[in-house]
Amino acid sequence: MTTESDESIVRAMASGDKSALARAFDRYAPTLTRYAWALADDRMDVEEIVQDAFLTLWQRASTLELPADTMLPWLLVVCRNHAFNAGRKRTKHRADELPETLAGPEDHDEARERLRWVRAEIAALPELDRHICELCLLEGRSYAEAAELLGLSVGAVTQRVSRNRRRLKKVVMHDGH
Amino acid sequence: MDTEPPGGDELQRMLVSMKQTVLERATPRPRRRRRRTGVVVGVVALLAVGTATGAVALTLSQQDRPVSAPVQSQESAPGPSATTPSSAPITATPTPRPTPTSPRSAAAATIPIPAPCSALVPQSEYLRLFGAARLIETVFDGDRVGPSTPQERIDGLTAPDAQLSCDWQNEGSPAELSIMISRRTPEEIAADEQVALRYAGGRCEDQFGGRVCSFSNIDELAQQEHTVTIFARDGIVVNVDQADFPTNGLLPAVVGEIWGD
Repeated sequence: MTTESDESIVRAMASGDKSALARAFDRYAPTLTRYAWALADDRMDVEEIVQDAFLTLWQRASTLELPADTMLPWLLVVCRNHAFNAGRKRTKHRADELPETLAGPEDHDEARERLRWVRAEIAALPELDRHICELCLLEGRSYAEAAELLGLSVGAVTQRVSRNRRRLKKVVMHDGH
Repeated sequence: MDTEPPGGDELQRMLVSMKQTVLERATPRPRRRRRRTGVVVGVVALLAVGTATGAVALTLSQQDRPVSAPVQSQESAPGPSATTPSSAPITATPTPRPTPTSPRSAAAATIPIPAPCSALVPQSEYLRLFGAARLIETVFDGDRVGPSTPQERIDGLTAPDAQLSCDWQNEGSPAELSIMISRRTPEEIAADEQVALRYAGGRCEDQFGGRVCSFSNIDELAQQEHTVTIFARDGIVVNVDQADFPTNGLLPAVVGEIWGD
């Protein structure tokens, strides 16, 4: 039995196939829910963050390029961004109750702690995906920075360019061994 | 939250509820965006292409299916306490591109793609366009991946499947410029056009003796705007992708070097 690739699911979503969104949800929602559980203050926020992450995936599918093999690192980063945005909204809403100084960016240990319920999933990812997770979710780098450090490309580049770079990377890695 | 995440039936109920909400809120974005841009030509072209690549073909009819519990429709989705990730079986193998249905044009085969990358623009223009940016040149030709050969630097790239990839990067800056030149079938070129038109603000027009499509995209994660320009003429496609990299006069310079305009 072959497993449908994430790239194939993203392409189907880009063509407007909602069933592909359902498949992406089935594949990654449990993991995202566990991650969001560590990020949010209550269950309603968890649901909102996970839902928003998948809606972002749907909206961005036509422009999304997976620099590595799976969409999980991208979804986790989107999930984290939605959680931070939700936190900022709440902070603004409750401004009167808060001191003037706000917490700075979370440190490495805090970020690691937030991954406590998805460690196994990240550990089992292909190497490139795992490195993206480490750079983005632990070191706080942007997706673009992570991709650059890994010699990958993200953004509005064509799949053709991406595919060729992947081929190039494989050749380079092969030659290096 | 400091409490353990839910598991078992409680998690399943939560997932079903979230999934239903997500699918209800997911609007048929591609069709709406295309209508907003008023690109009727694009729809006609798509229908004509019919079997264009999966990456770009638009599903014109939505197939909303009843919401089902994840456990019923996804065998590989991990259970609440599972330690094996659902993504583990996914391989690194890219999905193969469908075989082109028509051959690359004879004109494309006879027009060489200039090499090396520095030959893409007149020598007098190089510094203005690329400055001191670091250049990475790669020729893809079948299984060969590497810099252009001495012969290719004389004759240009003439093999049907040869592609030239040029990347300029400024040290210490996210600014980047990529130029990819390849030969494409009419179907592939039509598919590229559809991709461009699906972006908000994406547009195509006849220019420089060929067809120019361009679009921009701000990746919320990359936090960087990329602008892509795809120029197609005589079966040769010049793909320019830049992020914060000035490209004034770049395309006409490249066109001039390839077609002698």
